[in-house]
Amino acid sequence: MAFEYLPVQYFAQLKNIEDFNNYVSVLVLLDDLLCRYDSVPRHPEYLPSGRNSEQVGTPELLSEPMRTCVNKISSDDLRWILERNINIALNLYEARATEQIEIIDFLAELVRQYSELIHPAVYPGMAG
Amino acid sequence: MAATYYSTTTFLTLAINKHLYGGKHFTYVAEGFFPYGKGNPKSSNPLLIYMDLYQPWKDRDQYDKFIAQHRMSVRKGILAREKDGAITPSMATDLNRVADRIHLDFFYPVVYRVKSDISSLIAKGRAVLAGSGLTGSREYLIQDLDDLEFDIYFDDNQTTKYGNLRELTGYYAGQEYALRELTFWS
Repeated sequence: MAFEYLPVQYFAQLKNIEDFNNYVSVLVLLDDLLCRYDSVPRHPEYLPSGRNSEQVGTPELLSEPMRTCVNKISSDDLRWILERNINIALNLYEARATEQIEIIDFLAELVRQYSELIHPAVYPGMAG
Repeated sequence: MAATYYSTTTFLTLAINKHLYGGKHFTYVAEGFFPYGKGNPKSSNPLLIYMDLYQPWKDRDQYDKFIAQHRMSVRKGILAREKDGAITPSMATDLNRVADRIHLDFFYPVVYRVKSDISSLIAKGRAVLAGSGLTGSREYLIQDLDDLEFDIYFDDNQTTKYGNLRELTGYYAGQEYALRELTFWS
């Protein structure tokens, strides 16, 4: 249940700013789902007003915005990778009592991927 | 004597909260600046968070993991505030770029010291046990801490990049003016 890395040959598909932002939005929401179980636990931060604070960092709160972001992406390849990662993250969340090492690995790969995507060579609209 | 609650964040989030989110701060607060021996993990220890932010700021380490995670946290806030309607989709797009790309100087840590008595915030339902607070430490989540309810410590970065973002909430005629200052460095 490892994080599914976006292959380098797909990076060009992120030059569409809307696809890029929705792709990264799903990554950060996946982080919000699992960050309490990281090696150094972190706080979930996605909580729209009017929502119960007890829902923060749960699939009940995060699944809908993840789905919304995925559905806005035009690239089939990007959507497919995200679908895989959502399923992996939800499975890890369900098994969080016993799968902390896998969660830590998943989050480490996720932040590594994020760091690569925001590099000027990849970021949409930058000369790179 | 009432306990004092603190939170550590960055100038970036301070500026966004003031000038784009109406002076409302989504904040996890801990009892004491260094809540040693109170069961708080590192993520709810304002002193340790300060150190985690200060060191990559000082080293200009743009590949630091903690900085990248802070950038992702800013994005989570953008998603929530766009959902609220506090910012437009267009502003959210520009703010996402700020979160992802803004100069490391904006990650200088600042500390909030809550002036209000936490028990009154709890009584009003504005401070709720959260994070490690649910398992015994002294930590609360305040979703809408107002500018007037806390003091800011260590906001002493001498950079000129902050421009008018140091000003109080309401300084700008509109959110877009503050956003322009942030995107300039992003």
